[in-house]
Amino acid sequence: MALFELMQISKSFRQRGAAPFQALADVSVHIDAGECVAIVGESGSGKSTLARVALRLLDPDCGDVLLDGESILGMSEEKWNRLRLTVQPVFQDPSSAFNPRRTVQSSLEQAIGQCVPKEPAPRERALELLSSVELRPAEDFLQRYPHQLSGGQRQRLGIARALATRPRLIVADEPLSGADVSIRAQVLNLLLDLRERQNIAILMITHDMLVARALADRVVVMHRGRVVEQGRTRDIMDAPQDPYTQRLLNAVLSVDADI
Amino acid sequence: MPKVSRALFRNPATVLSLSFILILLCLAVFGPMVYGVDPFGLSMEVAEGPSRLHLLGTDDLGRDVLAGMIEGIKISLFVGFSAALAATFLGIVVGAVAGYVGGWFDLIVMRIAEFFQVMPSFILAVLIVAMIGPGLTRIVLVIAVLSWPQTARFARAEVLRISQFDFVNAARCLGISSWRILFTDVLPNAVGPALAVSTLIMAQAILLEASLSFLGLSSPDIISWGRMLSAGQNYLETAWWLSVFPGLAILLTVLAFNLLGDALADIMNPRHAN
Amino acid sequence: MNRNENVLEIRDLHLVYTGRQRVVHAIQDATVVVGRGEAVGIAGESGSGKSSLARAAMGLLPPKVSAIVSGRILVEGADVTTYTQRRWQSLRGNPIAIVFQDPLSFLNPVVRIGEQVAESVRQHDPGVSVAPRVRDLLNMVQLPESAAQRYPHELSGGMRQRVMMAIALGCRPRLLIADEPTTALDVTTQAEILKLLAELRAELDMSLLLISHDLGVLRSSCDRTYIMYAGHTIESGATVDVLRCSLHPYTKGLVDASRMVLNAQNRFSAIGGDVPTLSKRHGLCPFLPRCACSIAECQDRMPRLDEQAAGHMVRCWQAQARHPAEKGHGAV
Repeated sequence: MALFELMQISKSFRQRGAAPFQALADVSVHIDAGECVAIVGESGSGKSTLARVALRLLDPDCGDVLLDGESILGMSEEKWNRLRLTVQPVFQDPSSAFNPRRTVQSSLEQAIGQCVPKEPAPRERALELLSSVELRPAEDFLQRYPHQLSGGQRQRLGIARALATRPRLIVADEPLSGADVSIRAQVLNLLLDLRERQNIAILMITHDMLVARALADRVVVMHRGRVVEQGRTRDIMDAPQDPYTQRLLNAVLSVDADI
Repeated sequence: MPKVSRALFRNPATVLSLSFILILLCLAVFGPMVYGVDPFGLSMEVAEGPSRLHLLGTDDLGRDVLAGMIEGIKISLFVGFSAALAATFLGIVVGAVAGYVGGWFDLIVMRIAEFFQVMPSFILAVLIVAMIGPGLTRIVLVIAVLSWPQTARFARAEVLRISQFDFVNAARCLGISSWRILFTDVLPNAVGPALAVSTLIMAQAILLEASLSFLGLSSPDIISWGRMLSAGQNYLETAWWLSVFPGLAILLTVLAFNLLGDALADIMNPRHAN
Repeated sequence: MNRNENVLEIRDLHLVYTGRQRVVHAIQDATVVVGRGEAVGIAGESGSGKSSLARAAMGLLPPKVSAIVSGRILVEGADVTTYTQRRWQSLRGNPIAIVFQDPLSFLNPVVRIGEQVAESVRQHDPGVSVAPRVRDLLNMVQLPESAAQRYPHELSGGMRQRVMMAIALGCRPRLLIADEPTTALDVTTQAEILKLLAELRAELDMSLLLISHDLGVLRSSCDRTYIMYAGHTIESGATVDVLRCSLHPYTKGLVDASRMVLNAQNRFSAIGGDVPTLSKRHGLCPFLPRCACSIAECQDRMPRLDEQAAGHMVRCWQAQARHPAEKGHGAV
């Protein structure tokens, strides 16, 4: 049984003075425990909308979302509020991902405080989380405010917060965009650690084929709200079937002359 | 907060305004002790110009103008602060909830706010006070009711903006209730512009109270600058000090609060932050 | 004007931004040269100073808060380092034009595209008849004629970037500076825009100074590349040499990280640590705290930019020690 499954999700948005915009049409994606699945697409592909549906920040018009085989859309609110701790987000823009008025400690403890059963030593857990994302010395970071951290540090803090509730799935929406290349490698390594040591599944939304190739077990290619191709990373990269996937791969400029 | 004060003190107009308001406060508190004249006391020196005994002159009943003005400070500042406080509190709560919850509540609230903003507030104030009768608390309430849409607009706009930020989404993903997110994460970040407007409301309130008093719509047993102006109307040529000094007081006080409010609004503007 | 003259030369530039309470040495020692008809790239991450360099080359630095402390900027041989804004106006557009990362911020939202391109033409080509020239320019950037009637918000990101290029070309520039022109675009659109840039260069014999954090973009579009780090140019040369046979440890780290290939430990090679602060001028190599191959000399003095192989310069004691090559500063 898949850990998490999005089944035949469709979602459209009303537009004033125009026909409704179909963001997602019949999209199905599943993730097994410990797997990393990359959703790759350009702007307008619907990949960010899909991430929000997965986090239940948005409800689809039709289709279902299953966690451990159980539909989360039909669930009672209190049950979902407990279960949703197992699916945590990492956002793209580190500058808006944290309340500017909360210290690092406060932001982390806000997440730690939601754990069930209650965490007996929240401060210690916060320190542990900071160390696990290489924000050391951890004590120094507790009292800092988000604007006092560099972009890379904030991104790592975002991962630390996502880990606070011991999730089994992390939904990362373009976590590496806007990050400098040298920061990307650090964040990627962190995500690799999570998979290997803690067997956390990752649903990674990205527009960057190289990132998908680097991290994902499986790749789902989206275009204009639909899934055009999905499969094992190796297969998609070496032998893409769909013409859009081929165009996407051809357009990638890597630092070496050929990928 | 320290960032705000530093930014404030940089602007000379703001420093002047703040100093002026501080002087007013000191006068209100220490004035009666230092200048021991009873503002209500009638004296023999009727309609006399500024003299050594009565620094700013006396009115047609022999009451000291300066003492009356010091008394008037209390009224103006009381009306200004309380009306602004009430309007700000009401406006922030209503505006924030409207922005956060959206839907029909937002629709209704915004239509009500528009109504109050479109109506000429002065005429409305005159009508209401004429109907319900004068009285300081009533005037404060009337002004608050007429002014809350201004803060509500800002609060709503900021809440709408802040709600889009990812830290709000992160809190939602943690299962934290919407209301808790509103009060602990959204509001503290959203009140800035609304608070800045509250100083402008203070200025408006002082002006409105002065205008109502001028028209005789305040209770006769309090001395306010507007009332003094009203009384001085008939003596414009013979006893200019009865109009000039209260008039100046109103002008400078309203100006001071306006300048302060403008400066605060600039500082609190989120685009200013960078 | 000498045909072989460099269209842009920035030598030993030191630029500071002065805030109320602090000073930022955005560029500490940068040397960049763009020859006639060349495509030159500047690579660097945030804080490297590359965007400031682009603006310095156009006189677009905010006058009250920035100051060029030392160094020179030469545009077609003329020293423009101390030019006032008024004199810069005569240089902008022709011979140097610029396109930025986000066209939406730079296009007037209430003026139609055609009119904005026309404005550029009128400014720089006063005698010529405007409408046909606008048509030509839109054609050159592969935009349909109907685009002239549209407003910026009605176009896609790629189309807006083409409009920016049309406006820049309307000035008949000899050098086009492109500051992260494709960063905000989808990868397929990026490929089209870069292809367009290459075609335009060939057609108009125009030099290109392309600034990007994306090494892949530079590899595909530039003949020569400079690498900037913390306000210094630390390596330069033919793009192929700089990327394939990198001499500076930072360049090597950057290239490895860009590849996103797993190393022996099943991890991506990352450059540990963070970028140094720019609040003071560095006396020693800025990369030293993060460098794994520093030698004794690195602790003593700041390395100089030296030529190691034909046209390949590097600012690194360790690299110079390992490959003792032709001494003396090269021409480029």
